[in-house]
Amino acid sequence: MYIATIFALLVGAFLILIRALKGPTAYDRILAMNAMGTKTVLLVALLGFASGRPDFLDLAIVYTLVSFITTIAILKFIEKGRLD
Amino acid sequence: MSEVLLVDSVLLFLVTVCAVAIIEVRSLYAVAMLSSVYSLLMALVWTNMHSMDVAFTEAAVGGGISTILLIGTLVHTRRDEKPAKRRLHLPALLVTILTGAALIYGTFDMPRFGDPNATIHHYRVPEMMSQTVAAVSGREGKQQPPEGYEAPPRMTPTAAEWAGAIHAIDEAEEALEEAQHSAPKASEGEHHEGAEEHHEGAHKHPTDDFNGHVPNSVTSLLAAYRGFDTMFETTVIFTAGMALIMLLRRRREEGEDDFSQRGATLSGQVILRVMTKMFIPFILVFGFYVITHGEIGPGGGFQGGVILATAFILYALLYGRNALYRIIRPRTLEVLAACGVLLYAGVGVACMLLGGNFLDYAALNAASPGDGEAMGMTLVEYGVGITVCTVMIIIFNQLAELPSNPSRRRAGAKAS
Repeated sequence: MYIATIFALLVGAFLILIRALKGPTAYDRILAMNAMGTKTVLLVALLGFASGRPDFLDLAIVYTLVSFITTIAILKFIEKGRLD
Repeated sequence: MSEVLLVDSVLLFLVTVCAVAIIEVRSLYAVAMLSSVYSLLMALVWTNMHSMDVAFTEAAVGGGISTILLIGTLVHTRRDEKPAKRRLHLPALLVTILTGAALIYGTFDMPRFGDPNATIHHYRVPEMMSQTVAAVSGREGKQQPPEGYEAPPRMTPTAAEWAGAIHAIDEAEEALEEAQHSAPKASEGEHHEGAEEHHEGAHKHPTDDFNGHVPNSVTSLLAAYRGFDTMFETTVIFTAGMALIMLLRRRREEGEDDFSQRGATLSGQVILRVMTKMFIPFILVFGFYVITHGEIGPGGGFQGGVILATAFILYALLYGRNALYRIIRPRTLEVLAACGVLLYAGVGVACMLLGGNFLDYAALNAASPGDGEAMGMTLVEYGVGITVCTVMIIIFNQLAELPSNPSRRRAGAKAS
Protein backbone atom coordinates (compact mmCIF):
# COMPACT_ATOMS: atom_id res chain seq x y z
CA MET A 1 0.00 0.00 0.00
CA TYR A 2 2.75 2.43 1.02
CA ILE A 3 4.74 1.47 -2.06
CA ALA A 4 1.83 2.13 -4.41
CA THR A 5 1.34 5.56 -2.84
CA ILE A 6 5.04 6.31 -3.11
CA PHE A 7 5.02 5.57 -6.80
CA ALA A 8 1.89 7.61 -7.35
CA LEU A 9 3.65 10.54 -5.67
CA LEU A 10 6.77 9.98 -7.76
CA VAL A 11 4.67 10.21 -10.93
CA GLY A 12 3.33 13.46 -9.55
CA ALA A 13 6.86 14.66 -8.87
CA PHE A 14 7.77 13.88 -12.48
CA LEU A 15 4.86 15.93 -13.79
CA ILE A 16 5.85 18.80 -11.50
CA LEU A 17 9.41 18.62 -12.75
CA ILE A 18 8.15 18.96 -16.34
CA ARG A 19 6.28 22.11 -15.32
CA ALA A 20 9.37 23.46 -13.57
CA LEU A 21 11.50 22.85 -16.65
CA LYS A 22 9.08 24.22 -19.22
CA GLY A 23 8.13 27.35 -17.31
CA PRO A 24 7.22 29.41 -19.25
CA THR A 25 6.84 32.19 -16.66
CA ALA A 26 8.65 32.46 -13.33
CA TYR A 27 5.34 31.98 -11.55
CA ASP A 28 4.86 28.53 -13.06
CA ARG A 29 8.26 27.57 -11.68
CA ILE A 30 7.47 28.99 -8.27
CA LEU A 31 4.28 26.97 -8.13
CA ALA A 32 6.15 23.87 -9.25
CA MET A 33 8.79 24.41 -6.57
CA ASN A 34 6.15 24.86 -3.90
CA ALA A 35 4.28 21.75 -5.00
CA MET A 36 7.53 19.81 -5.02
CA GLY A 37 8.09 20.85 -1.41
CA THR A 38 4.70 19.44 -0.45
CA LYS A 39 5.42 16.24 -2.37
CA THR A 40 8.72 15.87 -0.54
CA VAL A 41 7.05 16.19 2.85
CA LEU A 42 4.60 13.46 1.93
CA LEU A 43 7.24 11.23 0.39
CA VAL A 44 9.55 11.50 3.40
CA ALA A 45 6.71 10.59 5.73
CA LEU A 46 5.70 7.69 3.51
CA LEU A 47 9.25 6.37 3.15
CA GLY A 48 9.51 6.47 6.92
CA PHE A 49 6.35 4.48 7.48
CA ALA A 50 7.07 2.07 4.64
CA SER A 51 10.42 1.16 6.17
CA GLY A 52 9.14 1.09 9.74
CA ARG A 53 10.94 4.18 10.97
CA PRO A 54 8.32 6.78 11.81
CA ASP A 55 11.01 9.02 13.31
CA PHE A 56 11.54 10.22 9.75
CA LEU A 57 8.67 12.55 10.54
CA ASP A 58 11.23 14.94 12.09
CA LEU A 59 12.55 15.51 8.62
CA ALA A 60 9.07 16.07 7.20
CA ILE A 61 8.50 18.71 9.87
CA VAL A 62 11.68 20.52 8.85
CA TYR A 63 10.37 20.76 5.32
CA THR A 64 6.97 22.03 6.33
CA LEU A 65 8.58 24.71 8.49
CA VAL A 66 11.31 25.78 6.12
CA SER A 67 10.40 25.28 2.48
CA PHE A 68 7.70 27.94 2.17
CA ILE A 69 10.16 30.66 3.15
CA THR A 70 11.97 30.21 -0.15
CA THR A 71 8.75 30.95 -1.99
CA ILE A 72 8.27 34.12 0.03
CA ALA A 73 11.84 35.22 -0.68
CA ILE A 74 11.49 34.71 -4.44
CA LEU A 75 8.13 36.44 -4.62
CA LYS A 76 9.44 39.37 -2.62
CA PHE A 77 12.45 39.69 -4.88
CA ILE A 78 10.23 39.66 -7.97
CA GLU A 79 7.91 42.28 -6.53
CA LYS A 80 10.38 44.63 -4.85
CA GLY A 81 13.65 43.83 -6.58
CA ARG A 82 15.43 43.41 -3.25
CA LEU A 83 15.45 41.04 -0.32
CA ASP A 84 15.58 43.11 2.83
CA MET B 1 14.39 -5.63 -7.64
CA SER B 2 13.67 -4.27 -4.20
CA GLU B 3 11.40 -1.30 -3.72
CA VAL B 4 14.21 0.76 -2.26
CA LEU B 5 16.24 0.31 -5.41
CA LEU B 6 13.23 1.03 -7.60
CA VAL B 7 12.43 4.26 -5.78
CA ASP B 8 16.11 5.16 -5.94
CA SER B 9 16.23 4.67 -9.69
CA VAL B 10 13.21 6.88 -10.27
CA LEU B 11 14.68 9.57 -7.98
CA LEU B 12 18.06 9.35 -9.69
CA PHE B 13 16.38 9.88 -13.05
CA LEU B 14 14.55 12.96 -11.75
CA VAL B 15 17.74 14.32 -10.19
CA THR B 16 19.65 13.88 -13.45
CA VAL B 17 16.97 15.65 -15.45
CA CYS B 18 17.03 18.47 -12.93
CA ALA B 19 20.83 18.79 -13.00
CA VAL B 20 20.97 18.92 -16.80
CA ALA B 21 18.24 21.54 -16.78
CA ILE B 22 20.19 23.69 -14.30
CA ILE B 23 23.12 23.73 -16.71
CA GLU B 24 20.97 24.47 -19.74
CA VAL B 25 18.59 27.14 -18.46
CA ARG B 26 19.74 30.73 -19.02
CA SER B 27 17.46 32.55 -16.62
CA LEU B 28 19.15 32.68 -13.22
CA TYR B 29 15.77 32.87 -11.48
CA ALA B 30 14.91 29.51 -12.96
CA VAL B 31 18.31 28.16 -11.90
CA ALA B 32 17.71 29.19 -8.29
CA MET B 33 14.33 27.52 -8.25
CA LEU B 34 15.51 24.39 -10.02
CA SER B 35 18.37 24.06 -7.54
CA SER B 36 15.79 24.12 -4.77
CA VAL B 37 13.88 21.32 -6.52
CA TYR B 38 17.18 19.48 -6.97
CA SER B 39 17.96 19.60 -3.27
CA LEU B 40 14.43 18.43 -2.40
CA LEU B 41 14.97 15.40 -4.63
CA MET B 42 18.42 14.74 -3.16
CA ALA B 43 16.96 14.81 0.34
CA LEU B 44 14.53 12.13 -0.80
CA VAL B 45 17.44 10.04 -2.07
CA TRP B 46 19.15 10.32 1.34
CA THR B 47 15.93 9.51 3.16
CA ASN B 48 15.46 6.45 0.98
CA MET B 49 18.95 5.31 1.94
CA HIS B 50 18.15 5.90 5.63
CA SER B 51 21.00 8.37 6.09
CA MET B 52 18.90 10.66 8.19
CA ASP B 53 21.56 13.13 9.27
CA VAL B 54 22.52 13.91 5.68
CA ALA B 55 18.87 14.21 4.70
CA PHE B 56 18.38 16.60 7.60
CA THR B 57 21.21 18.82 6.44
CA GLU B 58 19.95 18.75 2.89
CA ALA B 59 16.47 19.68 4.12
CA ALA B 60 17.58 22.52 6.36
CA VAL B 61 20.26 23.96 4.08
CA GLY B 62 19.13 23.02 0.58
CA GLY B 63 15.39 23.34 1.06
CA GLY B 64 15.47 26.57 2.98
CA ILE B 65 18.44 28.80 3.17
CA SER B 66 20.55 28.13 0.09
CA THR B 67 17.87 29.20 -2.36
CA ILE B 68 17.31 32.40 -0.39
CA LEU B 69 21.05 33.09 -0.53
CA LEU B 70 21.11 32.37 -4.28
CA ILE B 71 18.30 34.90 -4.74
CA GLY B 72 20.32 37.26 -2.56
CA THR B 73 23.18 36.90 -4.99
CA LEU B 74 20.85 37.91 -7.80
CA VAL B 75 20.45 41.27 -6.04
CA HIS B 76 24.09 41.92 -6.90
CA THR B 77 24.23 40.38 -10.37
CA ARG B 78 22.18 40.33 -13.54
CA ARG B 79 19.14 38.12 -13.81
CA ASP B 80 20.21 36.26 -16.93
CA GLU B 81 23.30 34.33 -17.72
CA LYS B 82 25.50 35.81 -20.46
CA PRO B 83 24.87 33.96 -23.71
CA ALA B 84 27.92 31.84 -24.33
CA LYS B 85 29.21 30.72 -27.67
CA ARG B 86 28.12 27.16 -28.18
CA ARG B 87 30.69 24.90 -29.59
CA LEU B 88 31.98 21.50 -28.80
CA HIS B 89 35.24 21.56 -26.86
CA LEU B 90 36.64 18.16 -27.67
CA PRO B 91 39.46 17.87 -25.06
CA ALA B 92 37.11 18.96 -22.28
CA LEU B 93 34.55 16.37 -23.35
CA LEU B 94 37.23 13.71 -23.44
CA VAL B 95 38.53 14.58 -19.96
CA THR B 96 34.98 14.55 -18.56
CA ILE B 97 34.21 11.16 -20.07
CA LEU B 98 37.50 9.70 -18.85
CA THR B 99 37.00 11.03 -15.30
CA GLY B 100 33.47 9.70 -15.26
CA ALA B 101 34.60 6.31 -16.48
CA ALA B 102 37.36 6.18 -13.86
CA LEU B 103 34.89 7.06 -11.10
CA ILE B 104 32.44 4.41 -12.23
CA TYR B 105 35.28 1.91 -12.46
CA GLY B 106 36.20 2.83 -8.88
CA THR B 107 32.70 2.03 -7.64
CA PHE B 108 33.11 -1.60 -8.74
CA ASP B 109 35.37 -2.10 -5.74
CA MET B 110 32.81 -0.74 -3.33
CA PRO B 111 30.46 -3.12 -1.53
CA ARG B 112 26.95 -3.34 -2.89
CA PHE B 113 24.40 -0.96 -1.36
CA GLY B 114 23.06 -2.51 1.84
CA ASP B 115 25.53 -5.40 1.76
CA PRO B 116 25.68 -6.90 5.26
CA ASN B 117 29.20 -8.17 4.59
CA ALA B 118 30.60 -4.71 3.85
CA THR B 119 33.78 -3.85 5.73
CA ILE B 120 32.15 -1.08 7.68
CA HIS B 121 29.80 -3.54 9.38
CA HIS B 122 32.69 -5.66 10.61
CA TYR B 123 35.59 -3.37 11.29
CA ARG B 124 34.81 -0.51 13.65
CA VAL B 125 31.07 -0.10 13.87
CA PRO B 126 30.25 -3.23 15.92
CA GLU B 127 32.94 -2.20 18.35
CA MET B 128 31.38 1.17 18.63
CA MET B 129 27.91 -0.28 19.05
CA SER B 130 29.03 -2.70 21.72
CA GLN B 131 31.03 -0.12 23.58
CA THR B 132 29.89 -0.25 27.11
CA VAL B 133 30.22 2.20 29.92
CA ALA B 134 29.47 -0.61 32.32
CA ALA B 135 33.03 -0.83 33.57
CA VAL B 136 32.88 2.77 34.66
CA SER B 137 29.31 3.61 35.50
CA GLY B 138 27.79 0.20 36.08
CA ARG B 139 25.39 0.67 33.16
CA GLU B 140 24.71 -1.27 30.00
CA GLY B 141 26.05 -0.14 26.65
CA LYS B 142 23.80 1.85 24.40
CA GLN B 143 23.00 -0.72 21.72
CA GLN B 144 23.15 -4.43 21.12
CA PRO B 145 26.04 -5.45 18.87
CA PRO B 146 25.20 -7.68 15.90
CA GLU B 147 24.74 -11.36 16.62
CA GLY B 148 27.88 -13.45 16.75
CA TYR B 149 30.07 -10.47 17.43
CA GLU B 150 32.85 -10.93 19.95
CA ALA B 151 34.39 -7.82 21.40
CA PRO B 152 38.19 -7.61 21.26
CA PRO B 153 40.00 -7.94 24.62
CA ARG B 154 40.59 -4.23 25.05
CA MET B 155 36.83 -3.66 25.00
CA THR B 156 35.95 -6.16 27.70
CA PRO B 157 37.19 -5.29 31.16
CA THR B 158 38.59 -8.07 33.31
CA ALA B 159 36.88 -9.13 36.50
CA ALA B 160 39.38 -7.22 38.62
CA GLU B 161 38.81 -4.05 36.62
CA TRP B 162 35.05 -4.47 36.99
CA ALA B 163 35.25 -4.86 40.71
CA GLY B 164 37.67 -1.97 41.08
CA ALA B 165 35.63 0.36 38.94
CA ILE B 166 32.34 -0.43 40.64
CA HIS B 167 33.95 -0.02 44.02
CA ALA B 168 35.34 3.33 42.98
CA ILE B 169 31.92 4.46 41.82
CA ASP B 170 30.30 3.47 45.07
CA GLU B 171 32.92 5.39 46.97
CA ALA B 172 32.57 8.42 44.71
CA GLU B 173 28.81 8.42 45.20
CA GLU B 174 29.21 8.09 48.92
CA ALA B 175 31.67 10.94 48.97
CA LEU B 176 29.26 13.02 46.92
CA GLU B 177 26.43 12.35 49.31
CA GLU B 178 28.66 13.13 52.23
CA ALA B 179 29.74 16.39 50.68
CA GLN B 180 26.11 17.32 50.01
CA HIS B 181 25.26 16.50 53.56
CA SER B 182 28.04 18.43 55.20
CA ALA B 183 27.89 21.49 52.98
CA PRO B 184 24.42 21.81 51.45
CA LYS B 185 25.02 25.38 50.32
CA ALA B 186 28.22 24.65 48.41
CA SER B 187 27.96 24.98 44.64
CA GLU B 188 27.62 21.95 42.44
CA GLY B 189 30.98 22.34 40.79
CA GLU B 190 32.73 22.02 44.14
CA HIS B 191 30.96 18.74 44.80
CA HIS B 192 32.31 17.22 41.65
CA GLU B 193 35.77 18.46 42.36
CA GLY B 194 35.66 17.01 45.85
CA ALA B 195 34.44 13.64 44.62
CA GLU B 196 37.10 13.57 41.97
CA GLU B 197 39.98 14.38 44.26
CA HIS B 198 39.08 11.46 46.41
CA HIS B 199 38.79 8.92 43.65
CA GLU B 200 40.88 9.54 40.64
CA GLY B 201 40.64 5.91 39.67
CA ALA B 202 36.94 6.23 38.88
CA HIS B 203 37.62 7.87 35.53
CA LYS B 204 38.53 4.98 33.31
CA HIS B 205 37.25 3.96 29.94
CA PRO B 206 38.59 1.79 27.14
CA THR B 207 41.90 3.02 25.78
CA ASP B 208 40.84 3.02 22.15
CA ASP B 209 37.66 4.91 22.81
CA PHE B 210 35.24 6.35 20.31
CA ASN B 211 33.37 8.34 22.91
CA GLY B 212 30.52 6.41 21.39
CA HIS B 213 28.11 6.14 24.27
CA VAL B 214 25.38 8.42 22.96
CA PRO B 215 22.58 6.79 20.96
CA ASN B 216 23.19 8.60 17.67
CA SER B 217 26.41 7.16 16.29
CA VAL B 218 26.69 9.91 13.67
CA THR B 219 26.82 12.58 16.33
CA SER B 220 29.36 10.69 18.41
CA LEU B 221 31.54 10.31 15.32
CA LEU B 222 31.20 13.96 14.37
CA ALA B 223 31.55 15.48 17.79
CA ALA B 224 33.98 13.12 19.47
CA TYR B 225 35.79 10.72 17.14
CA ARG B 226 36.52 13.50 14.67
CA GLY B 227 35.80 16.39 17.00
CA PHE B 228 38.77 18.40 15.74
CA ASP B 229 37.38 18.30 12.19
CA THR B 230 34.02 19.53 13.33
CA MET B 231 35.61 22.30 15.37
CA PHE B 232 37.52 23.55 12.38
CA GLU B 233 34.46 23.19 10.17
CA THR B 234 32.77 25.60 12.55
CA THR B 235 35.78 27.86 12.24
CA VAL B 236 35.48 27.71 8.46
CA ILE B 237 31.86 28.82 8.67
CA PHE B 238 32.88 31.65 10.99
CA THR B 239 35.62 32.67 8.55
CA ALA B 240 33.14 32.62 5.68
CA GLY B 241 30.89 35.02 7.53
CA MET B 242 33.78 37.36 8.32
CA ALA B 243 35.01 37.21 4.71
CA LEU B 244 31.58 38.13 3.43
CA ILE B 245 31.45 41.11 5.76
CA MET B 246 34.81 42.29 4.47
CA LEU B 247 33.86 41.79 0.83
CA LEU B 248 30.31 43.08 0.76
CA ARG B 249 29.87 45.57 3.57
CA ARG B 250 29.07 48.93 2.15
CA ARG B 251 31.35 51.65 3.36
CA ARG B 252 29.48 53.69 5.92
CA GLU B 253 29.43 57.38 5.18
CA GLU B 254 29.68 59.95 7.91
CA GLY B 255 26.86 59.88 10.42
CA GLU B 256 25.42 56.80 8.77
CA ASP B 257 24.43 53.78 10.79
CA ASP B 258 23.13 50.32 10.02
CA PHE B 259 19.57 51.57 9.71
CA SER B 260 20.20 53.94 6.80
CA GLN B 261 18.90 51.60 4.12
CA ARG B 262 15.15 51.52 4.20
CA GLY B 263 14.26 47.99 3.28
CA ALA B 264 11.05 47.00 1.56
CA THR B 265 8.56 45.35 3.88
CA LEU B 266 5.73 43.00 3.12
CA SER B 267 3.73 44.02 6.16
CA GLY B 268 0.82 45.01 3.91
CA GLN B 269 0.22 41.35 3.17
CA VAL B 270 -2.15 40.40 5.98
CA ILE B 271 -2.25 36.65 5.36
CA LEU B 272 1.53 36.41 5.15
CA ARG B 273 1.99 38.53 8.24
CA VAL B 274 -0.39 36.51 10.38
CA MET B 275 0.85 33.15 9.17
CA THR B 276 4.47 34.13 9.72
CA LYS B 277 3.80 35.29 13.24
CA MET B 278 2.24 31.92 13.89
CA PHE B 279 5.09 30.00 12.32
CA ILE B 280 8.16 31.74 13.74
CA PRO B 281 7.83 30.41 17.30
CA PHE B 282 7.46 26.87 16.00
CA ILE B 283 10.50 27.20 13.79
CA LEU B 284 12.55 28.50 16.73
CA VAL B 285 11.38 25.73 19.07
CA PHE B 286 12.10 23.11 16.45
CA GLY B 287 15.55 24.55 15.83
CA PHE B 288 16.41 24.31 19.51
CA TYR B 289 14.95 20.80 19.61
CA VAL B 290 17.17 19.72 16.72
CA ILE B 291 20.29 21.12 18.40
CA THR B 292 19.51 19.71 21.84
CA HIS B 293 18.33 16.37 20.50
CA GLY B 294 21.42 16.00 18.33
CA GLU B 295 23.06 13.21 20.28
CA ILE B 296 19.84 11.17 20.45
CA GLY B 297 18.17 11.56 17.07
CA PRO B 298 19.07 12.89 13.64
CA GLY B 299 20.20 16.47 13.46
CA GLY B 300 22.64 18.56 15.41
CA GLY B 301 24.24 21.97 15.60
CA PHE B 302 24.59 22.60 11.89
CA GLN B 303 21.03 21.71 11.00
CA GLY B 304 19.48 23.33 14.04
CA GLY B 305 21.52 26.51 13.54
CA VAL B 306 20.30 26.81 9.98
CA ILE B 307 16.69 26.26 11.05
CA LEU B 308 17.04 29.00 13.69
CA ALA B 309 18.56 31.34 11.13
CA THR B 310 15.64 30.66 8.80
CA ALA B 311 13.23 32.04 11.39
CA PHE B 312 15.21 35.30 11.63
CA ILE B 313 15.47 35.57 7.86
CA LEU B 314 11.72 35.04 7.53
CA TYR B 315 11.22 37.93 9.95
CA ALA B 316 13.59 40.10 7.93
CA LEU B 317 11.78 39.21 4.71
CA LEU B 318 8.44 40.23 6.16
CA TYR B 319 9.31 43.33 8.17
CA GLY B 320 12.55 44.50 6.56
CA ARG B 321 16.12 44.22 7.69
CA ASN B 322 15.83 47.25 9.97
CA ALA B 323 13.23 45.42 12.06
CA LEU B 324 15.64 42.52 12.40
CA TYR B 325 18.42 44.89 13.45
CA ARG B 326 16.18 46.21 16.19
CA ILE B 327 16.03 42.66 17.59
CA ILE B 328 19.69 41.77 17.07
CA ARG B 329 22.28 44.45 16.40
CA PRO B 330 24.78 43.47 13.68
CA ARG B 331 27.56 43.82 16.24
CA THR B 332 25.84 41.33 18.54
CA LEU B 333 25.64 38.88 15.66
CA GLU B 334 29.35 39.16 15.00
CA VAL B 335 30.23 38.69 18.65
CA LEU B 336 27.89 35.70 18.94
CA ALA B 337 29.43 34.07 15.89
CA ALA B 338 32.80 34.19 17.60
CA CYS B 339 31.28 33.00 20.89
CA GLY B 340 30.04 29.79 19.26
CA VAL B 341 33.53 28.78 18.19
CA LEU B 342 34.80 29.84 21.60
CA LEU B 343 32.23 27.62 23.33
CA TYR B 344 33.34 24.62 21.27
CA ALA B 345 37.02 25.16 21.99
CA GLY B 346 36.18 26.03 25.60
CA VAL B 347 34.54 22.65 26.15
CA GLY B 348 37.71 21.07 24.80
CA VAL B 349 39.87 23.06 27.21
CA ALA B 350 37.51 22.24 30.09
CA CYS B 351 38.03 18.54 29.32
CA MET B 352 41.78 19.10 29.51
CA LEU B 353 41.49 20.92 32.82
CA LEU B 354 39.44 18.04 34.21
CA GLY B 355 42.16 15.58 33.32
CA GLY B 356 41.15 14.24 29.92
CA ASN B 357 42.39 14.94 26.43
CA PHE B 358 41.20 17.88 24.36
CA LEU B 359 37.50 17.22 23.54
CA ASP B 360 37.50 14.00 25.55
CA TYR B 361 34.01 14.62 26.89
CA ALA B 362 34.04 11.63 29.22
CA ALA B 363 36.23 13.68 31.55
CA LEU B 364 33.38 16.12 32.16
CA ASN B 365 31.58 13.69 34.44
CA ALA B 366 33.92 11.39 36.27
CA ALA B 367 31.20 9.27 37.84
CA SER B 368 29.43 8.55 34.55
CA PRO B 369 31.44 9.11 31.36
CA GLY B 370 28.38 8.43 29.21
CA ASP B 371 26.55 11.35 30.76
CA GLY B 372 29.68 13.47 30.49
CA GLU B 373 29.79 12.72 26.79
CA ALA B 374 26.14 13.57 26.30
CA MET B 375 26.66 16.86 28.12
CA GLY B 376 29.85 17.72 26.27
CA MET B 377 28.27 16.95 22.93
CA THR B 378 25.20 19.03 23.68
CA LEU B 379 27.41 21.98 24.65
CA VAL B 380 29.51 21.55 21.54
CA GLU B 381 26.38 21.32 19.37
CA TYR B 382 25.18 24.58 20.88
CA GLY B 383 28.51 26.15 20.00
CA VAL B 384 28.15 24.98 16.42
CA GLY B 385 24.49 26.03 16.35
CA ILE B 386 25.19 29.57 17.58
CA THR B 387 27.96 30.10 15.03
CA VAL B 388 26.00 28.64 12.12
CA CYS B 389 22.84 30.55 12.98
CA THR B 390 24.53 33.93 13.36
CA VAL B 391 26.78 33.48 10.32
CA MET B 392 23.77 32.59 8.16
CA ILE B 393 22.00 35.75 9.31
CA ILE B 394 25.17 37.76 8.65
CA ILE B 395 25.44 36.32 5.14
CA PHE B 396 21.80 37.13 4.46
CA ASN B 397 22.24 40.68 5.75
CA GLN B 398 25.32 41.25 3.64
CA LEU B 399 23.70 39.86 0.51
CA ALA B 400 20.50 41.82 1.01
CA GLU B 401 22.36 45.09 1.56
CA LEU B 402 22.53 47.05 -1.65
CA PRO B 403 26.09 47.93 -2.72
CA SER B 404 25.57 51.64 -2.25
CA ASN B 405 22.87 53.77 -0.80
CA PRO B 406 20.68 54.91 -3.70
CA SER B 407 18.98 57.80 -1.92
CA ARG B 408 22.26 59.26 -0.69
CA ARG B 409 23.90 58.81 -4.05
CA ARG B 410 21.05 60.66 -5.68
CA ALA B 411 21.27 63.42 -3.10
CA GLY B 412 25.01 63.68 -3.69
CA ALA B 413 24.52 63.90 -7.45
CA LYS B 414 22.02 66.71 -7.02
CA ALA B 415 24.33 68.62 -4.75
CA SER B 416 27.17 68.48 -7.27
